[in-house]
Amino acid sequence: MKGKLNEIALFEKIVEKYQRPMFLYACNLMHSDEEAEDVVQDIFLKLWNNMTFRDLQPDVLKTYLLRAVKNTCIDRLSASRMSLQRVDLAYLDILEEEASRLDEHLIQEVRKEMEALPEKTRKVLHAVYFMNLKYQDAAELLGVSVNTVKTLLKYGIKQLKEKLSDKFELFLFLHVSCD
Amino acid sequence: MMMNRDYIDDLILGYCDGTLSDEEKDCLNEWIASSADHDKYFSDLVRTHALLHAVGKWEASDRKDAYLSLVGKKRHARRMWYGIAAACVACLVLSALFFMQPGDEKRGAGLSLAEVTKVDAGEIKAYLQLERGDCFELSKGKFEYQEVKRSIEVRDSLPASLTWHKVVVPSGGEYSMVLDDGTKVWLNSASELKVPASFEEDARYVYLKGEAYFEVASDSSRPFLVNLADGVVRVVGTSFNVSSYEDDRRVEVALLEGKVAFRPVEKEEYSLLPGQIVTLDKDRCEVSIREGDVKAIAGWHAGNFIFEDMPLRELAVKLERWYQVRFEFSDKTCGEMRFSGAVEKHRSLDYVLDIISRMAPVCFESVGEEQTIRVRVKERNTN
Repeated sequence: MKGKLNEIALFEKIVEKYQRPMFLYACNLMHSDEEAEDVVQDIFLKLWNNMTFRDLQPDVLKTYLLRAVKNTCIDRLSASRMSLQRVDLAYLDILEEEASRLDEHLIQEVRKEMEALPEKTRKVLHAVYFMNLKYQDAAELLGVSVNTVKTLLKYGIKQLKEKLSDKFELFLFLHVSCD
Repeated sequence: MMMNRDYIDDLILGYCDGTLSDEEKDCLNEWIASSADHDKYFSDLVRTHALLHAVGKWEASDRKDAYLSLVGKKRHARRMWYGIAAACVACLVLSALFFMQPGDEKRGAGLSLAEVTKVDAGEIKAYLQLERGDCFELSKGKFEYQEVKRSIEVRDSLPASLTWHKVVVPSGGEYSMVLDDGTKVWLNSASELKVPASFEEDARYVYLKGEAYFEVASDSSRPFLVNLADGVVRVVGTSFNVSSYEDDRRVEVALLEGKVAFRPVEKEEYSLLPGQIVTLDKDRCEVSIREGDVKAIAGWHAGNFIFEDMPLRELAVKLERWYQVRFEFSDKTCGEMRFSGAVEKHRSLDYVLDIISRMAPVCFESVGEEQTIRVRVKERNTN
């Protein structure tokens, strides 16, 4: 009986810890949030049914879940249309890596960096990423042209890229010594 | 190809939004492939985009209640599984991971290198072979657990000391498990571990071919002994890596924590301190101990290939085991070029070879229908 309760508690902890990175990763790959949610739901259901979560090492678990998101999304997309090109594979890798780092702390850090941006730029990023507005709608809301929205958006992303780039861990380093 | 950065930015953001036409996508593809800087620029921009996206949705994306209520309905199924699980613990608790990879299409002659080398990274998979010869795949969850249970029922009617289980990990596979004493073992590609159905009273013997990383549960009354073709590693409670492939010239034991002793066949015992690596050269029958980056050596169990001042020839062998391809060196010099670095194991072979060929004057080309890759020195005059 005690084991059962522990099991539920463990599963709840896993869901709580990984559901957001998984959902956000799936959002990047699927066409709608609903589809993304469906993917995540499916994965948790399977995880619960086959009980693998009991035996997975914590450090493997995250990779496992994100890989499950990737594979499920690819399956569903390829059933509908998408052929995977080189750029697509690279894109998936990058997103998976990014998703695996997502946590409250990183989110706060990005928020902080955003606060430091010039007001107009910040507002554009806010409209596009937080309010999910199309460029046209964001332009209307802010009373500027679509071109300005695009320009500020690119400027803002690049500024953040610079600020955050030292935090993008080097996942591959190589040096060669030929002799 | 000269292109305006601003236009590239548009392409990248369009790509993230999924609004590019096929031509635009090709164009972006080409731009990315044309230099390592481009590749990095693309990935940094995508990362930033993904992060912003995540920040915007972070609060709203807390859906755990929905996911939990969904599995709540299934909770009654647990009791039955529990019985099975309890039986499993008696033998091996198998952490079955199953990473589905997109299917591998038939690759014929005449494909470009990029197509042939787009080999997916290996999977987590293994087979359990019982003494009486039955073989079960250990990768897909429930069904296999029940098979394992059946094997234990068989075992119960035999003297325990006679029953050995062999876990076989093929090329391109990888597997981790917990033995009944609590010892964790990660088995690398093309490796085999033989374990008794239950350990004996006075010692814990296992037999290894290939490479494994051990975290041995501490038990001073029962030493843990890893038997190799060329020696034995004696352990009390510790973390260490053993590499003993039949086709490798060297046997290597690297100690991360605790205490182990390695005794090559017909030789004295060599005790290791944490951070030390003992190497047996099988051809020359020589043993040497050195200090080195032991974490790097054991890095594969956490999902990385890490190599330190390693000749390309040796690196190729590691890649062969994981990606199930074969390398052919068209001349000796390129096999001797030395590399240090790290690559995540889940990346495609294409990616890994691409990086290597950018850093060193070598190039890779596919040969024939088998998954064979020829390595040759790049001519200097082509840029």
